[in-house]
Amino acid sequence: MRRPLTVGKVVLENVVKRYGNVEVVKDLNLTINQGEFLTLLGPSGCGKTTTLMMIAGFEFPSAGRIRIDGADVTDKPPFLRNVNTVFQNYALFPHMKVADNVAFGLRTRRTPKSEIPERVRHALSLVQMEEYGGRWPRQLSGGQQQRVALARALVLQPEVLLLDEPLGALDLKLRKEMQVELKHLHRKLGTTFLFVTHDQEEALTMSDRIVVMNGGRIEQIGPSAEIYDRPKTRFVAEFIGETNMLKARVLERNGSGTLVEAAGVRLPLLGAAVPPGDRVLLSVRPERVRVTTDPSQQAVLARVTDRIYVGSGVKIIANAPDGTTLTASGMPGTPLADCMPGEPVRLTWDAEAVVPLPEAGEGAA
Amino acid sequence: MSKKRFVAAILLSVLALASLVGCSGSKNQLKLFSWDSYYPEEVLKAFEEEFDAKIVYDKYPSNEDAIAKLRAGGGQYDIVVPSTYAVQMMIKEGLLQPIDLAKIPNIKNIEPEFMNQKHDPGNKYSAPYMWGTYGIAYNAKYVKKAPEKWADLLNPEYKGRIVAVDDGREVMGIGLQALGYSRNVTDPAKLKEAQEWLKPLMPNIKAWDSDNPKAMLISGDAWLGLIWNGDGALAMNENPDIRYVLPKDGGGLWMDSFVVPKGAPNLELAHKFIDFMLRPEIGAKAGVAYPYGMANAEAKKLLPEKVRNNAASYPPKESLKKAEYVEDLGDAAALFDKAFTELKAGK
Amino acid sequence: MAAPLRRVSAPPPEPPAPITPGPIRYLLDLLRPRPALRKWLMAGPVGLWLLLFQGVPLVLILVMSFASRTGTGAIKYDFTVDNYVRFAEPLYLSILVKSIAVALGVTLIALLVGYPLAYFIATQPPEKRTLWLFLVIVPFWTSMLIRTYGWIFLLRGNGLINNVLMGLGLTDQPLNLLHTQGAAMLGLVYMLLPFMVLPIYTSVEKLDGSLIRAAYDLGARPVRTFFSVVMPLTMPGVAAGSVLVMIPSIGLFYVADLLGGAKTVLIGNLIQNQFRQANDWPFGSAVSVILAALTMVLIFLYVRSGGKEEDLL
Repeated sequence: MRRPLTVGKVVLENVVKRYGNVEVVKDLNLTINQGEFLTLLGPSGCGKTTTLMMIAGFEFPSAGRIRIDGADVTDKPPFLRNVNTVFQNYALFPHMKVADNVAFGLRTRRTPKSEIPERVRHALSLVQMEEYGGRWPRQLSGGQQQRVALARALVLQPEVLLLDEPLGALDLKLRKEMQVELKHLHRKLGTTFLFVTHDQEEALTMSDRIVVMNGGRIEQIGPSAEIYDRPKTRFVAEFIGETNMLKARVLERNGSGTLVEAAGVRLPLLGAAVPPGDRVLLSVRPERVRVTTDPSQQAVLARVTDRIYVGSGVKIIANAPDGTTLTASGMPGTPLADCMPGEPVRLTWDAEAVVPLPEAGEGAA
Repeated sequence: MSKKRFVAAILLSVLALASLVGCSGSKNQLKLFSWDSYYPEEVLKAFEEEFDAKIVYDKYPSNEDAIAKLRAGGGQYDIVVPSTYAVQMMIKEGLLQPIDLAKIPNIKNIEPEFMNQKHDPGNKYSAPYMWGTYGIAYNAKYVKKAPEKWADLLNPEYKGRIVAVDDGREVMGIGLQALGYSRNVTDPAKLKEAQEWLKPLMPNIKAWDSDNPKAMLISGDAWLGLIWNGDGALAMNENPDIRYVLPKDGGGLWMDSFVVPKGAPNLELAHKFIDFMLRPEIGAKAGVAYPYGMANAEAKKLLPEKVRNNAASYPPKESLKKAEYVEDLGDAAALFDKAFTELKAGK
Repeated sequence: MAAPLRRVSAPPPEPPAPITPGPIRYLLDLLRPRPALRKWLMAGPVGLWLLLFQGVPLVLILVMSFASRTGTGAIKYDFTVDNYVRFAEPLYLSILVKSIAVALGVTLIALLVGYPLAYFIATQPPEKRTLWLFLVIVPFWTSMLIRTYGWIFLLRGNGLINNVLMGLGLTDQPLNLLHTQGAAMLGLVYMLLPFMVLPIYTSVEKLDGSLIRAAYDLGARPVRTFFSVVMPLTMPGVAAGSVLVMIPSIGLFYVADLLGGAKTVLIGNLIQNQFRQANDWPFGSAVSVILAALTMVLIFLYVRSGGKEEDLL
């Protein structure tokens, strides 16, 4: 078999999945690198779970190829693929004790009997569940079941571990703990993790790279910071974190950049190659918006409508005269934190905080 | 007598009960409790008209059901028509009241050989209606040599080719008669002997069927039938290859008689009904409609020749010599049942 | 753009409109402070029905089983255990054993046929499932007796099957199909199959599909997945179906009689024979009581092994 030049652990080439007339995955190309923690992120119905199911072998592509470790597995059933899945609802076998659940895969793969207990113990110790081998799944809490499901998948030392919204059913605190633990496990084992979630915060916390999907297509692929700081489309900017979306008109271009007008103020724009007269969208993250008292600085004059205490800081919402709503957040002790509803305020940001986006919702990449 | 389907009987009884409620006020009502298909519609109509009466006709599928119902005191019937041994049991249990032969002048029409039988000496309680036999029906197409005695049934060529009514008394009777005993013995040793004799017959039985044994004969599924003559006569009508014989060493006899249960509400009308049924022209109508023998000599004379010559309904006199009625044997009945059950269970 | 914060509070939800109380409801409400009485009143009609049409006949049978029969077959109410002693004879014990063996055979065949069928139906798309279930249930609209006669017409010497076989030249003699042990078993399996299919269907349908995926995911092929995951998890349905098939198969004497030619005496035949021919109601009652006790033992074992009574309904 011809090995493709890209040395991806998992490679999807022009993968399409249709149900009847509906295309849920549209011409998807994706390479997952050896050892990375890659997250498929998107709203429900974006095709992320279907993509994972196709890699696991539970769904088969309508077109395109899937390779794992260079080998074409497109038509192989799940039991012939060396990937393992942690399911959203854990899918522990209720009629088997924890240890038997973990040993199930070892037995189907005809692991020598003498090795099984030790490997089961080791897998359970990875998820701190050594003590629970003799319990029934129904005797465990949700978090504990999740750990067993992880151990059951990891015990087979898969090429790729697929995680289908594995933390979705856990409460917030447990979810945060499991996030850290998963990250630890990933670092310790060096296994390739493919993680599916609709929770952007979870994705940002855990991933080496994030694939943002929408409507069956990839909107953007990149490291967490790049996805957050340099979104390429309006969808990505709005889906990942909070942002202020300003409508702007290009006034002129000069050597260092572009001058645009937004919220009634002229603002410099770095690096964007947009002809004068065009309209663009500007994305500015709330934490990049500052309150300034320096009258010489270009600033949007707005009136504070709400002041929200968010624990780690304060968020204010203000209205510009042209109707634009702006959100800004800051730490306690900054001028922003002292603003009260009804007060006028001057809001400003650095030129490099502004991300220009095409006005249409799609097609940036 | 072919036992009719239980479910049908229950349904009909329910219907009969319902209609009974509608006319329970009528004074001139005759409550008849009998076998199904035993009285032509026109005969019952004629009685109703002549005596300005209303007949309520309840049906039973077996003598045992009839006794059970009388014993339970249900029904308050005027006329019941059980077979010989059942008459005997009913008398023993005091379920019947004597009939007044003076009020039944037509009793003189009954052939003497059916009068004054062991089950009711002097006919104190019963007046004979129809009779018949239990013998061998066979399909001459397959059975080349007509069976002459019970032992002919043991021929291994007939393996799985015999249909028989599921009746322990009749079947045990075969073994007893083949050994030269009466079918009414109560000696356990003789019964044991008969049981041994019957063992080789079992592989030849294709099916035990009391509901409709003639069907398998007509279709050719069975070559021989151990059945009552009514079914035999009907089978002969359907398939000309079928014959009916009584074996030389025995055979069964049955006879149904009119009896009046104790507490019959309309004693007068009950006697009138019996006398009416014993009229020659009335009896002849029933004799044409149903394939059983008429105990009524005068009625028999009126039957068309074809009916009179049917060998199943009226077997030759000489063949009846060794045929016997089933008698009530009291406690010994349990021995028959157990022996028959053992035979069927392969013991 | 940041979502504008909303402080609009929704109006409190309206209380649900009170249901106009019917007279019965009203009476029951009056009894609210007396829950025990209320419970009895509600269970009353059903209880009365059960008592009248189940309890009373059962007690009659029980009483009669300790009576004896007179020479003519009348019932004498003297207390005796003779009927039960008589059942201990080898003849009747062998009939019991044979009946259980036949019932087990029927249950096993019904399981082998019913499981794949139930599995097939449960894995159909929902709208097709309804049709399939309907097809399974529809024979119940006709009396079992009539369906038994239907089989007779199919199986007998000049019946449909033999005519087709002979018409195709596959056989020149009609095959002996009717009045065989096989025909009796076939009839029983046919009559009782829905009782096997429906509970298994329910438990297959309840089965979480992700468990099958998990098994595949862990390297189990379909056969292994079936035996190590699907089978164990649908055991409640299998157990309920087996009990539901086994109990009536012991008692359905007329199917065995009509299709099997009454050649093997099963316990159901024995009972009906005592009532309808041998005129020995006390013995028949005793055998009935034994059969009922056996059934209860079976249900007891089923419940003790973790089965739910509800699954039997």
